[in-house]
Amino acid sequence: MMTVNIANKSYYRDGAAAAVIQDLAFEVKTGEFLAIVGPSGAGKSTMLNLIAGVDTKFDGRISHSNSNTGSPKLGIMFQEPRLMPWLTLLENVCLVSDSPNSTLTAVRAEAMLNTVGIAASSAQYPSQLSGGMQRRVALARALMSEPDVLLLDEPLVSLDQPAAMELRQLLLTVWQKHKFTIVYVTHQLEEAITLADRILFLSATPTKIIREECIDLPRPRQLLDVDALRISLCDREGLLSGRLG
Amino acid sequence: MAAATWRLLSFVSLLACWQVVVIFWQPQLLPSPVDIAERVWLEGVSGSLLANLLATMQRVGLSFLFAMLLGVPLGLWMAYSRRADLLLDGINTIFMNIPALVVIILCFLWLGLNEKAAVAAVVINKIPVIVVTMREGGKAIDFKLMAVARAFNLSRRRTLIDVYFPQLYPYLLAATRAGLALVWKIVLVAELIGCSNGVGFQLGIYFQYFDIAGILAYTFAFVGIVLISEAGLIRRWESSVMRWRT
Repeated sequence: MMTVNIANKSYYRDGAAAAVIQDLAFEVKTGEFLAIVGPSGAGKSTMLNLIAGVDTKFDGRISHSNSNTGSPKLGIMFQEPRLMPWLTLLENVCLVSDSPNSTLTAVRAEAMLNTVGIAASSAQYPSQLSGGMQRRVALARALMSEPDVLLLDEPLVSLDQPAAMELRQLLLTVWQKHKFTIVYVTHQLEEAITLADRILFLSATPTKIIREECIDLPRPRQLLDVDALRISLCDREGLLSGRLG
Repeated sequence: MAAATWRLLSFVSLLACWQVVVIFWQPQLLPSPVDIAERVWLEGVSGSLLANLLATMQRVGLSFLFAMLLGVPLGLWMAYSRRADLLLDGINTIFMNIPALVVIILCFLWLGLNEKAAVAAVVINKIPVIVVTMREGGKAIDFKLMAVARAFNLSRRRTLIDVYFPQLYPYLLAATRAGLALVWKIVLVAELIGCSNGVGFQLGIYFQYFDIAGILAYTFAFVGIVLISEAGLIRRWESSVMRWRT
């Protein structure tokens, strides 16, 4: 179980504090696929940075109560691929492993790159790849760390539809096999419904939870069901339809 | 033709033209490349060329090392701390604009005519340039990539080696390049003024004897070493850390 409790996160500009997130609290069960939906500029990425421990300047607490002791391992995929341009694809994926230089790691990383559909040579540098391919490598890297909690920040934005669908399916397959916890931030309601066990809807800044929805559709989810649920959700909450379309 | 061939060709044709000019006009004050080569050989055999080159190289190496050791952290500190930047920026600019000669003279006056003063003078001349370059480098660090290291909980060592330093390499390279080029030149001046050996000292003596062949012999031997170190060390380092750019 991961408990997120952000009492206040502000940015200071010209001496004045502007609250980005206020009183945002929720829990994620171990092995749950949680989607977080909100309008752009709603502080979703900020929130994910706090959960990831990248940014520690905030009031509140992120706590993990795991069955096994020690802090959980995090994997993350940002909005941009954020690969190290000076490392080859293989080195990029190996980097997040505990023993980046071992042969075993390299073999696993190769396999991971194959899994995400990188057919090209793993000795290439990221700049030689298209943006979509770089995203695949970023996903491979996130999975390579064998995360207990996987954080995804609009990971498939700007990918073409078939590629996005393929990677969504891949993510689901891996998740169903390893049952790690996923926090998936997106602004597409449809994507959230397709993937998640539960959806949290966020308001514009200062970010709060304005609605929570459990998705009970059986997997694999049919496009028609997803669409029907989306429409009924939008109908029930007139507010959302405008914002989330 | 390969790039190396073209480079070689430009040197060879310059020397050939020079030789031809000397043969035809026989100028009083310009020895031919052959004369100079002969002189280099003589100086080399006598051992004085090597001794002086080594003395100079040692000063260059030492002062370059100290300047980098002090300048790099200072520059990075100024990149990250606004206060440090405000405190040191003005001073740095002043030091950058004090003529090298003034620093050299003052160091010899204050510290005495010794090795310490020579190296200190060069270090003081060199630091401001490194500071400016490394401050830019520190400011160019991409915090989005640092966030990746943080989120995946990479060890400090891994973060430095694989995420942080690679972003600084272009700046370290620039500082090294510009740094060495500057240090060579300043060391010679320091030697001319206050040392009893080294290339600069020897050039001073030949200047007094009007010995142009001697001056040019030392110059070319020295330039040769600089070129070799540039091509052999710095360029090789560059191509190994910048491989990903191609």
